[in-house]
Amino acid sequence: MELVDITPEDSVVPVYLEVLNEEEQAERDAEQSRMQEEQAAREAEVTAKEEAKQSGLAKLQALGLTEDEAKALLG
Amino acid sequence: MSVSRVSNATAATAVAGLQMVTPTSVSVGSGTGSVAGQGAVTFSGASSVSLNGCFSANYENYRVIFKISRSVSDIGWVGVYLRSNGVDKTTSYFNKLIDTDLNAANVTWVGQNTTTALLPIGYTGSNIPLAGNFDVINPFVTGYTHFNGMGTGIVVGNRYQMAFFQGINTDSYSGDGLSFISSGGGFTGSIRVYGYNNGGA
Repeated sequence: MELVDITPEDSVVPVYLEVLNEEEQAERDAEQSRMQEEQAAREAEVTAKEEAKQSGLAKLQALGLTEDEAKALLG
Repeated sequence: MSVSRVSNATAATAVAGLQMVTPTSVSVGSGTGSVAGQGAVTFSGASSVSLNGCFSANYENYRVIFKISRSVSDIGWVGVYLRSNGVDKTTSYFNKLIDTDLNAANVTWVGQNTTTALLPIGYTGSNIPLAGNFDVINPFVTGYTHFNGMGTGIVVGNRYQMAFFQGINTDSYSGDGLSFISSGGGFTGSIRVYGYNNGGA
């Protein structure tokens, strides 16, 4: 890693630009890719939970429950 | 609780309470950064932000307060590393982030899958910042480091989010700093670190 001094005049401590070497950048890129995958997994989970909830709600109402009763069961 | 300011190089004073800490330096992966006289670290367009020397033998435990927005409109999440001597600690984190949608009428918790590479602290976009705080327990003394925190931000669909996150770094490690990274793109914001002063001489 290389440090480049980019301290602005109004900073009370040094500020550096960290320039990663190839290996460090590859590690950082890999971690960011994994974070993006985790985000996609989270979004898929949110969608799946909402769809399951709506499906369950509809099925309970078809069985004769009111919407409030169905929502109370589903939580 | 009283709050006062002290350089990280100064020994803890006799006043118990939170004391703002100034890092010895700041590093950014891109963009710009600055540290104000009272210790606030600000940054813009940074792919990562590292606060070096913010943990020391002066305090056992710390409170970190953050407010971060991404430079791009798509939603991404932010994670934290410990670091020592300018090098990030990228292993042995065991953690969970759970969040729920503030827009929804009901509470449905969603879990962030565990990663051992860093501590996730939440999601943000360009319109609503991720803001919150976490405590760092025992970062400087060699041993386990614990994190306990919460925040509010925004998730996909421009839905407001609240999140809790907790984790442990299980290596016998002494950290003197923190790094914040995002899942892509730069971010802008501010971070403040306070030491819990136990009082006494």
